[in-house]
Amino acid sequence: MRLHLRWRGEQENTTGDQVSARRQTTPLSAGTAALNLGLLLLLLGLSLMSLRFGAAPLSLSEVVAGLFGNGPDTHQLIVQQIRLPRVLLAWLVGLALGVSGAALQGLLRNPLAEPGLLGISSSAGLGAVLTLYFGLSALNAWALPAAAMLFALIATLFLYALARAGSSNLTLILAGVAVSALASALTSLALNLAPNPYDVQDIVLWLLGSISDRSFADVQLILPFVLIGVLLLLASAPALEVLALGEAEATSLGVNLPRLRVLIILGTALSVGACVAVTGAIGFVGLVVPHMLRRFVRYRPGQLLLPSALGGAILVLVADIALRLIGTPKELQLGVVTALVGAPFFLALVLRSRRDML
Amino acid sequence: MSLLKVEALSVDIGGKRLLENLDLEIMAGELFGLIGPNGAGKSTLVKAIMQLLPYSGTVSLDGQPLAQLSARARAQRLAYLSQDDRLQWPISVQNLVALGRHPYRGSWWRGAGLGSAGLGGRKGGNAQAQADERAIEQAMQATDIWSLRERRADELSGGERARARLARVLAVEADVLLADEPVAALDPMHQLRVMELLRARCQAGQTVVVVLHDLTLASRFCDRLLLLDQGVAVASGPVETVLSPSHLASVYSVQAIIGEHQDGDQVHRYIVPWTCDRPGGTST
Repeated sequence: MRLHLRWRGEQENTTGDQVSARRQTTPLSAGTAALNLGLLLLLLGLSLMSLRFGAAPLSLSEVVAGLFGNGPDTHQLIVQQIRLPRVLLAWLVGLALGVSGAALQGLLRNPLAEPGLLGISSSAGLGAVLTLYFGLSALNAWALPAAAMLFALIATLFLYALARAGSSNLTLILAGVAVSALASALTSLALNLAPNPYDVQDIVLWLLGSISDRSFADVQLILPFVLIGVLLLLASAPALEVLALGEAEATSLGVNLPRLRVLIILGTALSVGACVAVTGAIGFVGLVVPHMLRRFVRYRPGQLLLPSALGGAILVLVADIALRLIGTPKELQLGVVTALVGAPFFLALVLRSRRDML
Repeated sequence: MSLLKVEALSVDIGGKRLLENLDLEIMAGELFGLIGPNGAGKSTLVKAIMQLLPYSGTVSLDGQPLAQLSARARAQRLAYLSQDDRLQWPISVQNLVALGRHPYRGSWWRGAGLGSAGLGGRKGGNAQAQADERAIEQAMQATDIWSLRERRADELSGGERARARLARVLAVEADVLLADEPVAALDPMHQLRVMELLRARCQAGQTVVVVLHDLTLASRFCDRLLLLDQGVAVASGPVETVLSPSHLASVYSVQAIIGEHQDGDQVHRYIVPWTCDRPGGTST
């Protein structure tokens, strides 16, 4: 018999007394609200830190003054026009990648599912590059995010069909790697063949992702799609929770599986697709964050969604602050930093779990 | 009075007929057993009743076709325990049992969804939350897993796990429980425990439909049986008529030892499959 795990130092109830017994039941959502509040506060704190760092470091009071339109004009300009869009983009990208990673893992019942690894991000990047470099984006500002979302949707549907056909977790991940490689190759090809070829830096940007040098216009362009996508994904929480029992028992409990699939596939395509249209493909956030937070929600797939969204934003902000603090001669790409953290993490996860899942 | 009624039920999947023109009536408060060899269609019948498969014919509860009920209303009245006991995430026993209350939760746009996503939408003190808590607790007490409630479901032994899954089904507080081979992987003690629990549910007013392979358990605990073979009902009714030597020989292709055991004032039958009639085998 294994050791009985006790939470919050509670004592084993042996009296059978119903009233005291009920008091000892851990409330079903206990801890999650505190976790979310903690993550939110951390996110707000990191956002202020992020506004401080850059070519011209500012103090906290200068940041606050600049944010609310006080202090020197240069400070206002730096904080409001240069660094704030960057922080907001970090929020949007992190929310989208974190929550879609957690939702895809719940839906596909695969802890390795993630928009980056499954090739959803790079497919969205391909869609964005195709419109950008063949002039479609000049016709209509919405063409860029629309194409990215469409390509993300196609990739998600393809992978979902594969998962539905009963493929193993390994097949799914390998198919994702293949989709990702193909989309990356086509992105590079498109950039090479573009009417006025762009330099390697542009290719790297789309394949690895960055949130520097973006404006409020970029934020506004994707904000509605990301918010709707994230809300769709959060709305899948109750059904996702029940899906832990398997599809048959979940259906017997009233879960509408087709609706759940639509919520998650559409939510992922909208949020991740829109983000990639502006930032390029940033990998591993959706893998690392849900995995780190899972134990704090006691492995409940629905409860994991909101913390993963907040955690994703935190991770992207931390990575973005780190690359500015490291201070390389030429600023690192955000995707390089997340990959440096995420790829070894992915490897460790595969090695640790290969016995029972691959 | 029949509670669950199946009329002219046929199931075809991939061009293969899995169930053929089946009629069945299950009474309220009955412990009804579905038996038959592998591939006979027992699980298919349970899934069709649960509306998990496309079928032709009618399945009705209290005279109302189940196909006309909303998924939510159906989920409140019928609870289902599948054969598949894999759980993807190692959630706690208490959280596992609580999933049985899903048919009663509010729609997500009323805030419950965000509550589940961690915003604490469910307030203590409202009537539904109290009913949920009481049902979850009673289910855990009935299955004797109260002391395991904080354990991770993947750390349980087979018998504990079976009881935890059963508690999840009991927490639904449905009129009808349908359990697909709930004792398949259990030791004799846990087999008896689960069957006694199902028996007790019937005495408490619920109706139980259970798929069984163990004919002695079927004979000992069930009120009535349906014997299926290759998608067709071979016999249905009281235990003595269904579990006759001729049925065992023709459907299961086994010669069985059938004995009787006096337990208080009740006589129970035990059935021990002894030799199989393989073509070219040595049995007689």
